[in-house]
Amino acid sequence: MLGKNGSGKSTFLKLVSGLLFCQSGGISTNGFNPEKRHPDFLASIYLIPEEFNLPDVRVADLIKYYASFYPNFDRLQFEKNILDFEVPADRTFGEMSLGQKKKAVISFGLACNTPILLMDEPTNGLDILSKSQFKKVMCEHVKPSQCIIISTHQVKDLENIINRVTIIDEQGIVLDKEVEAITKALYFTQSSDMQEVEKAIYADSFTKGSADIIVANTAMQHSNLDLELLYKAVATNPKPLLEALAAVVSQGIE
Amino acid sequence: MTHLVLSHWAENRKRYMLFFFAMLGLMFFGAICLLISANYSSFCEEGQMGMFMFALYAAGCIFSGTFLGALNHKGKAITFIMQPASVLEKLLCAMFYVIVVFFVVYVITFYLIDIPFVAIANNFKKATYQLEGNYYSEKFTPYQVINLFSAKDNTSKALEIFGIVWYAIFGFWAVQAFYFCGSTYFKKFAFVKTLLASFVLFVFFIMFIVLCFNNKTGDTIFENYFDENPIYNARYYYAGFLICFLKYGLAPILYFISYYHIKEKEV
Repeated sequence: MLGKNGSGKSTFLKLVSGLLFCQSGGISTNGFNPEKRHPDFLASIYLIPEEFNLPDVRVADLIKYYASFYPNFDRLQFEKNILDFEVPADRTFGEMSLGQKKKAVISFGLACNTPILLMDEPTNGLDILSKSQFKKVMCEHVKPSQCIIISTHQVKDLENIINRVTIIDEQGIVLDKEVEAITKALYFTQSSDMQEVEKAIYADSFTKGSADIIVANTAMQHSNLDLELLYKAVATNPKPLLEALAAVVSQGIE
Repeated sequence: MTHLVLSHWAENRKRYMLFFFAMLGLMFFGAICLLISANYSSFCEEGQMGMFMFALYAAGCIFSGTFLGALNHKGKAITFIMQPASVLEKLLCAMFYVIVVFFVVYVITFYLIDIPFVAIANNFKKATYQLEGNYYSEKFTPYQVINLFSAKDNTSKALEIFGIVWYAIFGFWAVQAFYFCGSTYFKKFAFVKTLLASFVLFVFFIMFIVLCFNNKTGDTIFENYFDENPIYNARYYYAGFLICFLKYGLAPILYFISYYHIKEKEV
């Protein structure tokens, strides 16, 4: 989930998890009304907030005191995540850096194996290596039955590990598409040809004689989704991009 | 429920241990000051009861008023709300710590200070007694450590002291519930705001009692109620109802309100 600051990404996650209540309308998360905060609902959802709190205990205590709340908690998976993330298990959370704490929370959240996992800016505070480890851990441990919603500005950290993109603004959802549908409809490339750049659905500014562009994928070529470019295109001028996507959808590609 | 109690202990054990030692240290300091400034007579039974009540109210209000301070911290509030347990279970866990654990630890702390200081006070008393030359003329009667859980004997004075102690303890549970409720209601500076609110309400309560229930002779409605042979008039029943409400009704009502505050808490 992408969007400008203040567009409502975190609010959406809080509504889904029952931390905030709807002012109008209603919301259903996995068959539960989140506002009721039923224990079964709370055991089926794990939120990794941007601003989190960890008790001043050791990693082992986290399993001892908190794992029992989550029926699908996988201890081995948690220990592997902790090893992969190189979290110092012998220290208490009070003695860890913000990044180490965040990795511990992510490790715990993934090991809970809740049907719904919500992450608000999960890679904020992680160093470069940890961001790679994050991708690796996510790819290894996420199960097909799980629904994971990640709200972030760090789009590069999520490329190749997500299968759906939702972009929102203050008015609502601007774009909500499967990655596959996007890459079938749009072609992400670099071009130094001025004419091609001018015709593109969206073109980033020229850097070193070329520009990143999005064009309609008329030749049905495969390209990797460039989330940053897609977001910029939607944020600056969404109309041509959405028309190109709609055209492909109307042809039944999605 | 057990998981909740254990996880709460894991999260807060350092804070609670610090609170315990701070309470122990302050009570020790207070007892030393009393011994030096007010002489050993402060450790008579009434004096011990006064110390017990003063420290109980002070420490208990701080403890309960800050117990759910987590709700005013975004990260901690998210952890608290998202913990897979019902609001009732979370409230019961909180009440277990605030009412049961705190009270037991407080009583232990009080006796840890009171027993040795009563012994010291008795030594001072004995030394003074001997210095004054009363050693052979009058029997020396040392101070006794107060027993909060049973009257010393069946004399009316012992029973009266025992009754007052338990009225004050029930009153304490109501005040403690008020501070707990305040910590769930106010979003910022909850303890300070609750403290101010408690003073304002206390003043209003006294004014209410004085203006509404005093008779022409200036007696409050409680005078007749505590008489050995009370007159069973309307004032007697008003007093009975008010005392019963303060003793048994107020704390549950305040915890009930706290339940809804926690249930409707948004982060």
